[in-house]
Amino acid sequence: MLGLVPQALALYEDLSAEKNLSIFGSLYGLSGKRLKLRISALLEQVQLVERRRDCVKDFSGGMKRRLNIAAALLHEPEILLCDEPTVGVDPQSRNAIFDLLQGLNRSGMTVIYTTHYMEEAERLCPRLAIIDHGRIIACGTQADLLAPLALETQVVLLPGAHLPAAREAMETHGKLAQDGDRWLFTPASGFKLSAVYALIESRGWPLTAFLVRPPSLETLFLHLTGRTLRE
Amino acid sequence: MKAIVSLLRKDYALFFSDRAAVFLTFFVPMALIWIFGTIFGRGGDGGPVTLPFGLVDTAKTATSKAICEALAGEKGFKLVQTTTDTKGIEHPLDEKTLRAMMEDNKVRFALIIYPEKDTGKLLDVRLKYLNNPRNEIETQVAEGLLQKTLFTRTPQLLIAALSQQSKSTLGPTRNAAFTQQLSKVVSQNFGPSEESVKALLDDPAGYIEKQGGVEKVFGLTTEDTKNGTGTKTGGGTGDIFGRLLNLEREQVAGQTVKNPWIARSVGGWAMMFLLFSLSAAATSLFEEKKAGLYLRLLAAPVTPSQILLSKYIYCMSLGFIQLLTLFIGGWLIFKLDIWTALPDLVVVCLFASAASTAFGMVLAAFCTSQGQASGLATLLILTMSAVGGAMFPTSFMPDFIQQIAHASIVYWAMEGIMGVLWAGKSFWELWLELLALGLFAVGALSLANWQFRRGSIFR
Repeated sequence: MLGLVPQALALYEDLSAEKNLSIFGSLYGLSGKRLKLRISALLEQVQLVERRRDCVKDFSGGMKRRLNIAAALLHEPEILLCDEPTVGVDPQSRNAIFDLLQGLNRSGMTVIYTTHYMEEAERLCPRLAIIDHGRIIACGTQADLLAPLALETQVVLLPGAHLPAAREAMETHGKLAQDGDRWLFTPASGFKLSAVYALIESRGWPLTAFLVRPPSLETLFLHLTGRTLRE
Repeated sequence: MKAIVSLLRKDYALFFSDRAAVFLTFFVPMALIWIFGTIFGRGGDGGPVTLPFGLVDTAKTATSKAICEALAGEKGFKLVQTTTDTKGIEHPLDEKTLRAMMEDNKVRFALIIYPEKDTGKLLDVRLKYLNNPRNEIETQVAEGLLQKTLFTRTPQLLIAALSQQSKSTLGPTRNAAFTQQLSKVVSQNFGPSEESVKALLDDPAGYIEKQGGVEKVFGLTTEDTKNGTGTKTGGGTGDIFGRLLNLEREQVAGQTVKNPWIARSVGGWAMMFLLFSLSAAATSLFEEKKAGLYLRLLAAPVTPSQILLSKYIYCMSLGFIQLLTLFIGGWLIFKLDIWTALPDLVVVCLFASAASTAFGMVLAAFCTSQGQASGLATLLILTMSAVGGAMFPTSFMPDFIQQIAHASIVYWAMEGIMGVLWAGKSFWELWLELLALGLFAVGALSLANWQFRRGSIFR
């Protein structure tokens, strides 16, 4: 059975947290003691026990998000579909949500998590699917997906006095692309990253002016979907 | 200043971004002006109201014919003097049929002219005025028109009767001398010329018409014509005429209603507010959509039809309770008797709520935003209330508006409510009104359900 955590806060804001859960629980056929126990357990799980009788409209964004997840767990679904469940929440709440979802996953629940934040996917998802224009264009574990891009470690050239000289020195060793006031250097095949460090050291450039970025999901995503803005 | 201009631009941009709302903002007032102008101003021609008025002449005398002619000449009355049977053959109206028509609420005011058996009376007719005063405005207008017509014609009838009596008692020669002598006495003591008094006594109808009406001849004031129909008293000339005319009055419905005008007033306003509140409740569907709740509800074992039906039942129960509360308020404040026929009133309120809620659901189904629904609701509810008789008697409206009224929930609800509170009918007797409301409810709910499935509210 499926549980849905919609992107919108699908809650009755004028009702209490407990009342919201009671309504949604009854839609799944829960009633009486079983419903009460389930509500108590979930409020405990999302750390809202003390606010159980407060109106949802008085909750912070993070609390609403947690309650939004709790409402999808009432019937103990086997699969939980979360549609960007951390939109607009503070870091503490986001972490709490991550912990909650990881705990659910560890307990055997399948969590399908949709997000635009690659770091969230990296942290939470052992298996990933990249969807572009409604089609899955890549699917697998993080390692599987990143494997083809293993050599595409990027070096970011940050702005500064060294930049013109650094661009000139590095452009023969790979591909350079401008990214705002920064430049991204993607080494050519066979190029060793240690050569970059040797170059920086020999020219006396500040080490803080360079960032070495290993292949990430964001790199993979942009690589697969391109940089054209989506509608 | 620049900030104010920028903020103003923002508000105008937001306003004009919803084209339907813009249209309704300007269209609704214009439409209401036209509709109310047509309803209350009779299409702008300013013509008089035409109340159906039953008339049965059982006397068939010259006096009764003169009264019938006078009533026929009254533009405010649409005289009903015939009836058509099932074969389509027209028959003169008799008292029994007239009373049946009044019971069915087809005619609410009528006059029956009987022959006067008491030979001591000056006029040879006896009048009975039947009325069903379920609407105050309508009743006052009907009575005003009847009094005006009767008392305008009474002096003429009186003089004609006196003249006829003196002719038959004295004979033509002595009557001529008597008329001559009387004219002289009146002229000497009251002012008018001897010739004019003689002309009046010789041919009352012709003289009064030539002089431009009874008011001019006798110097009657409007107040005089308002006074007295036999049961009322007053000190004016009209009261004298009232005493001369043997006019009985019979109320055919609502005799036991303690506070008659309140029944209609409470019913009318209750229906209008019911429609407003139910439309608002039904359009709360948009709020739930905006909050994304349908996605969650539909992810549960719930179907769109179940969502709609639950919303419908909720709104209907709310409307039902509101309607009953308003009637209880009428009882508490105005002593409106609702307890005598409470079960019947409950049934009518239930059907009225069902139809009104279905109307709100249709609005929600066909509009794409709450703003649109509110604008359209204002237009439709005010129109339905006006056309349906919640504000003003439908009998005062043009014929085509009276036909349109049958398409209004308010009309049938008002008929049902008045049927219970005023005419004391049971809900079995109000089957037509309940059937109409029931059909509205089923039809509108089906339409709303169909449109909801086609529309985007659950997407």
